[in-house]
Amino acid sequence: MLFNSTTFFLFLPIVFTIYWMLAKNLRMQNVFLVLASYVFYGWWDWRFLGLILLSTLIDYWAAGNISKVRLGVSIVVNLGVLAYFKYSNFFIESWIDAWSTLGVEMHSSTLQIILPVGISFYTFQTLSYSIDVYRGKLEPTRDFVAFAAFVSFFPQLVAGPIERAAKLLPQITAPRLFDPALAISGLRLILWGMFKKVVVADTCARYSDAIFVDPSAHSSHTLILGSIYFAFQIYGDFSGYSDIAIGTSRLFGIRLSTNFKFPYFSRDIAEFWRRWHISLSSWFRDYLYIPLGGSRGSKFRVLRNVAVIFLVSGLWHGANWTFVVWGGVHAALFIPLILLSKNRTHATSTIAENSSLPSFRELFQMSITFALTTLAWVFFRADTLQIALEYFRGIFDLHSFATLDLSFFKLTAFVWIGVMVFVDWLQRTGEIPSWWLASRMQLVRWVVYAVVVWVCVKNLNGGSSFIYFQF
Amino acid sequence: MKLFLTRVVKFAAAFAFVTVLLWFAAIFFQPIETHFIAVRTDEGAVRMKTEEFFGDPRTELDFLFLGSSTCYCGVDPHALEIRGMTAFSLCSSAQRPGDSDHILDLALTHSTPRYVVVDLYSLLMSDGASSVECERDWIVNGSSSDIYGGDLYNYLLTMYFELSRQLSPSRTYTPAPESDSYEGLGFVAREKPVIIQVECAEKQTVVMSVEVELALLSMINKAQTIFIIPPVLCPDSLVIPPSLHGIEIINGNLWPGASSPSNYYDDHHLISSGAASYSGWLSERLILLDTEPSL
Repeated sequence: MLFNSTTFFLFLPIVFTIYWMLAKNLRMQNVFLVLASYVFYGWWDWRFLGLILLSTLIDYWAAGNISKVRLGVSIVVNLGVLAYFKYSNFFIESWIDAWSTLGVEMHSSTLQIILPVGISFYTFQTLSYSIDVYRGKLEPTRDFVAFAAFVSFFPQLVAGPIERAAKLLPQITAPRLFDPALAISGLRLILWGMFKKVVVADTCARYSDAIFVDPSAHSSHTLILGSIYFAFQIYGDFSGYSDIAIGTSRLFGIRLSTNFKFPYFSRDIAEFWRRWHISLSSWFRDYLYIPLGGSRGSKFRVLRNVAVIFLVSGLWHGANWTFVVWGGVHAALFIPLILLSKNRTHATSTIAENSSLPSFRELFQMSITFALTTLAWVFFRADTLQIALEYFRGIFDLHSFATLDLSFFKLTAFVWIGVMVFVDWLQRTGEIPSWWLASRMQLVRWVVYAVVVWVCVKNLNGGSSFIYFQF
Repeated sequence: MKLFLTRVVKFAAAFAFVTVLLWFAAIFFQPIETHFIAVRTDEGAVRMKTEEFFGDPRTELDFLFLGSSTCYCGVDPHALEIRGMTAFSLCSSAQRPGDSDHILDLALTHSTPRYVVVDLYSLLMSDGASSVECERDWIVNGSSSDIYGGDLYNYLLTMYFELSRQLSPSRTYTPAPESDSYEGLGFVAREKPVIIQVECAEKQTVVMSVEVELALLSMINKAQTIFIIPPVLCPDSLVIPPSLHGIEIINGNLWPGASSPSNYYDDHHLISSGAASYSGWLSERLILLDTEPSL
């Protein structure tokens, strides 16, 4: 079931009503939450509910009386399921390709495997639970229903944020009281997320898809525009989904972690990665980077650990060498900051923290960072490395660049991007401006919300899928 | 909870009230409709072709074409008419097989084609069977009140346009681009600069989705069907599922001009001279199938 579909608009009020009717009975409320979540996921394909159940059972059992062996089972099963469904064909094809470069032809027998939606997210979520219990950071839960609710919680089941059990499980095991202010903030976030997805991302997608499908047919300027469209498409899509997930959770009295903190306002790549897909990067930091040694040890060791994280993160995004290269590009951009010990320069500050506009220096830093990440997105978006390289050849074709071509400059798309950037800018410190929430602004707020609802309904494209669903 | 629900209900009521006011204003003032509801347009010629088709007293037709833009600007039914056959194209922008199935239902209320010819552009075959864009095009420009795609806004548009057509029947339509010329029988001739060359990416194998397959089977159950693969500069390989084996398929990429860029303005749309040549070649094959179906 997609968030931007009529089915979800019917599903949510029904689930919301029944959920709060069961508020006096926590156990029943959690049972209902599990059932609703399974319906939500099963709406896409009921056959894969078994995988979520398997992951739930394995990790509940493993953590119940944790040992090295049980943790090993949890890791093998979760990563094994992920590897099978997501990477089997990739490994088979890569193996065949590798041999063919040596002149040895092998019969291609790739499997017709459907990639279960959200598998990369819920396997990581359950894995983090087992590991945290093993490390002694968390007591294992004895409440199977609550644990099942933690694993399958529908707002964040298919595309995150990847929640840690230490944060989410206590909220599920504790009684929830309806908080009107939290619920209203949830609705506000859902509306904003919908705008980012169905208006900004889907509008940009129309143009980026048309450009990426055949880069050789387009001019240098069009290809640059294509990469910009995709940069905002993926941001609108993914952060929009996260906002809807977080907003929906608030309707149920549950607070999820922030997953995006306005990454395109970053002043360097290190800051970008502290602001983009925070739940995933922190997962890799805690469960891969730190066990590898983290920032301890020699410079070479640190660089190795950083490179591993980025390459694995790239591979996590998809079973294609383009994603690995994308991760590698980010590693290459990050490593100089480590070598110069500048990776934490902007760790605690926000751009234009004490002013309305960025300084020229900040604007320059932001522009460079945006340009680098946008160029890196070409690898992420291209279907093959060949297409990505063709794309770059086109961008840097000086002959083509000399003739201005704005045929793909679509004002509508940039108006929507501008609105999104403007609103993000106003919230860059993490808080909605107090003047906006003032009671005297209620009529203005309602008019703006009504316009946004109208624009979203008009652009609601029959439930176009979120990019990150296939991760 | 009461406070929350009260605020939500108040907002929803205010929103609904303003929306209804806006709609009524749009019914009587077209600029409001254009800016806030939908743009009526002759691009794609859905209005002209539906007016012509449903205004035609003939209730029998030899060939009815359905499909997307590769069809409505690539296949000229006049090529069949001059060969003694009757034909019409209800192809339209982004029309997928699910859309074609519903448009066929609409067409069958008026006439009975001997053959339904479905244009299968490979890039539209591997995903959903219906297109919100096509459905919206027919609601806004084609006076269709048939909702099938589940899009909420299209549902609202249907209600609006049904009311609008009764209360304000005469409306102006945004003209089609200068490059497009509606020639009748559902055909739109396009005059655009020809593509110089194109570098084709690796040939893809396109597997038809289950939804598309079901939509095609639905059409096959209603009328005798022929599939055509439109000519493109970079052909992919479309896998026809076993359930559709036995249906006649004409591969447009066998047309002698299929690989010549001078017939196209992009990698899959024909300019009018290319369409004329292709339509002549296609007509010969369709007539041959009609007279000798086993070939």
